[in-house]
Amino acid sequence: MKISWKRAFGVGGFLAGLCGVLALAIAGTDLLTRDTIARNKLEKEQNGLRKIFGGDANYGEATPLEDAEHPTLVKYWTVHEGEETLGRVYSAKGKNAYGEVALLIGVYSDFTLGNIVAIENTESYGQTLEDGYLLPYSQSNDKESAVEKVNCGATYGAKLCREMILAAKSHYQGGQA
Amino acid sequence: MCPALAVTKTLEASFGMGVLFTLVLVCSNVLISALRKIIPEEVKTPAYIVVIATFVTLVKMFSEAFLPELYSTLGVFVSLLVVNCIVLGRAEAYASKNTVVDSLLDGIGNGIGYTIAICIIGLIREILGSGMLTFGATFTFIADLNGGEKIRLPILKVPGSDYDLSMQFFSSPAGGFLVLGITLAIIIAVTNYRQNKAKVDARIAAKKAKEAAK
Repeated sequence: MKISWKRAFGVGGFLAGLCGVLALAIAGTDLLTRDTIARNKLEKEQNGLRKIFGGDANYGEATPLEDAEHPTLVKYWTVHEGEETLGRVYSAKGKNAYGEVALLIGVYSDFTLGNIVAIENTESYGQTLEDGYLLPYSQSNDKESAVEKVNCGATYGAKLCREMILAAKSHYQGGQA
Repeated sequence: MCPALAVTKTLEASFGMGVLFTLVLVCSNVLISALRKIIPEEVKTPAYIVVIATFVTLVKMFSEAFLPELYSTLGVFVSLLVVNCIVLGRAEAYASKNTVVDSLLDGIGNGIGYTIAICIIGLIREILGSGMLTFGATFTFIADLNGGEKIRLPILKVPGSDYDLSMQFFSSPAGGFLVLGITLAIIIAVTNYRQNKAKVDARIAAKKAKEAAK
C-alpha cells in the first residue's frame, strides 16, 4: 500500500495532536492531585515511623543520603528517647523487574535489626512478598536470621528487601566505625 | 486473567478494581466513539491505546490521591488495565462503530458485568481464604464511619475461638485460579442445562402437537 506524503503528515499530525491534548489532561490531573499524593505519602511515612520505635520516641529531622555504596538508601532519622539514642530509621527504595518497594527500616544502636514498614510495594508478587517475607520478618524475634529467609514465593522481591535492610545496617555500622 | 487472580483476594479489592475498570472503560469508550470519524484507519489501534493509557493514568492518579489504600492494594494491576483485552476489545468492536451514548451505555454495562464477575470470585475467595468478610481495610471511610474499627463478619472463622474452617490456599493465586475455574464450570453447566432443557421441551411440544394433529 502506497501512502502519499500528504496523508502521512495528516495521520502523524492527528496522532501528535491527540497525544498533545491527552498529555495536557494528564498534566492538569497531576497539578490537581500532586499535593494530595505528597501529603498522603508524608502521612504514611509518619505513621510508619511510629510503628518502628513506638509513638513515644523522638524522630527529629531526616538526614538525606546520597551514598554510592548504598544507592537504595534515601534518608535516615536518628531516634531518641529522652537523652538515650535508640537507633536509626532508614528510608530505602529499591526497584527490580517486578516493581518497586519502599521500606522504613529500624536499626538499633547496637546495630541489631529492628522492625520494618513497607511504605510502597508495587511488586507484581506484592501480596506474596508481604505474606511470605515482610510479615514473618516483622513478627520474628530473631530478625538477623529472618532477613535471610528469602525463599518465599516472591524471592526476587525478598532479595531486594534483604539488600535494603542489610544496606541500612551496614551504613549505620559504617558511620559509627 | 491477571486481575482475576491477583486482586480478587478480598471482596473490597475486587469491587475497587471493578469501579476503576468501569471508569476507564466508560471514559475510553466515550472518547473513542466521539473521535471515531476522525481517527485515521492506519493508526486506529495506536490511537485507542493512547486514549486508554491516558485514562488509566488519570484513574491511577485520582485513586492514589483520594483512595490511597485502594491504590496500594491494587498496585501494578491498575497500570495493567492499559493492556486489558476487554477495554481494547470494546473500543475496537463497539465504540469505534457506534454513537457516544450507545458506547457510554456499553461501557457501563460491560463495567458492571466485569465488577459483578470479579466480586463473586473475591467474595468466594475471601470467605474460604480468611473465613470472614472484612469491610474498611481498602475503603477506609467504612472503618471511619464505624469509629475507626474495621467491620468483620465471621463466617468460617470466629476470632478468639477454635472454630476455624478457613483454607488459606484460597487466598493464594492458585486458589484464585481454582475458584475461577469452578465458577466458570458451574456457569457453563447451568447454561448447557438450560439449552438442553429448552431443546427437550421443544421436542416434547412438537411430539405432542403431532399427536394432537393425528
